[in-house]
Amino acid sequence: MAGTTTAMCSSFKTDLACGIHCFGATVTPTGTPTNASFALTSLSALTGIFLGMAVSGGSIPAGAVVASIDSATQVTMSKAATGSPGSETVTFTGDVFKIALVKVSPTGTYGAATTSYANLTGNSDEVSGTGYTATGQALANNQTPALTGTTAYWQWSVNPSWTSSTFSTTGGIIYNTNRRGPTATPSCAVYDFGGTQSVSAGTLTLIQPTNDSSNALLRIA
Amino acid sequence: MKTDGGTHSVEDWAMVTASQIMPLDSSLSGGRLLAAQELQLAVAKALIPRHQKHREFEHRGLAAGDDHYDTPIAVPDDSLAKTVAVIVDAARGTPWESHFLKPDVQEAVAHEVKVMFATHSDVERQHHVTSGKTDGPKARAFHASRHPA
Repeated sequence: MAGTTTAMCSSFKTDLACGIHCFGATVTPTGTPTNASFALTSLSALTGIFLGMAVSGGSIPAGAVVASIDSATQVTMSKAATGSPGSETVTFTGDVFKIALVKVSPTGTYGAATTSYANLTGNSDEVSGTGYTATGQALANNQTPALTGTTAYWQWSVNPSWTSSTFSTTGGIIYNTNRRGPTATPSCAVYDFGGTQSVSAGTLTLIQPTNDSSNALLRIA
Repeated sequence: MKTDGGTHSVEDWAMVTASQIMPLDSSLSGGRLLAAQELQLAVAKALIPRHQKHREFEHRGLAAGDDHYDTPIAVPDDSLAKTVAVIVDAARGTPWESHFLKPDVQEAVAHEVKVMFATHSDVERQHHVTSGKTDGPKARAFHASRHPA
């Protein structure tokens, strides 16, 4: 039956096992780039740094990512540094996730079987309206997953909002904009808003649940 | 949370933040539900001036110019501590007084407050752009970071 059902996408579980997603929060240790070298040395900390994370800094070219983790104080980047400034602050950023909104009375069915943002666009089921940009809103500030007992849980530290907007929606799909495998825009989870949510020339804010092991948006027991 | 014709009021923010901190569990009933509702309302009332102050900070900064978009939306630790303190105070004399005195609960409360205040800032900054009050490059870049094509 067409519509939206709150569920973690089944494909998300296998994608996690293949390293498709990095929910790491942004970290900013110091490190030493060397001109024309791919190695970033003398890192002050490796905590929170994972393969594939975007790397940025004064002497690091745009688009560089962590290609390998060589030791507790060194990573190799995918692009060579453009200068030798000595020790400087380097920023490591996790994947960019978005939430795309589902229109009222969608023709498609979204839930555990959803695999990609493309499922939404393939059915022309994404919201359109003033203040809504196609592909949805970027979820700001990843929070590195936490653990309580045997349950890992995580969400984001800013709730998504649309201002000066006019549209109606019945649900949302969180997906990854970074591509690390065969599926572009792999989905994470689908959320049913429990009815039509409409805003007129105003502000719609989606409030994430309490961030704990029983309620967080994404949880693995 | 929806507001037609503008952004959310400080009362809206206070009520939603309070509902995150003192949710009304579906298992509550009778006198205990009444007490929980009263505490949630007390927390909301305590949060109104905090959200008002937060809003004024954003409005002052945005009125000053584009550079305000360089200011992190994260809430300063002292402001966070004060907000947690007013919530703990609101719980005094209620069945949840000892609950809100626990360090791990206060940490969780601080986290929820942090998220809601950051969201409040985020909304004010987005609205400053979408309502046409600014066309500054940093403002446009901020909005584009939330709504990339």
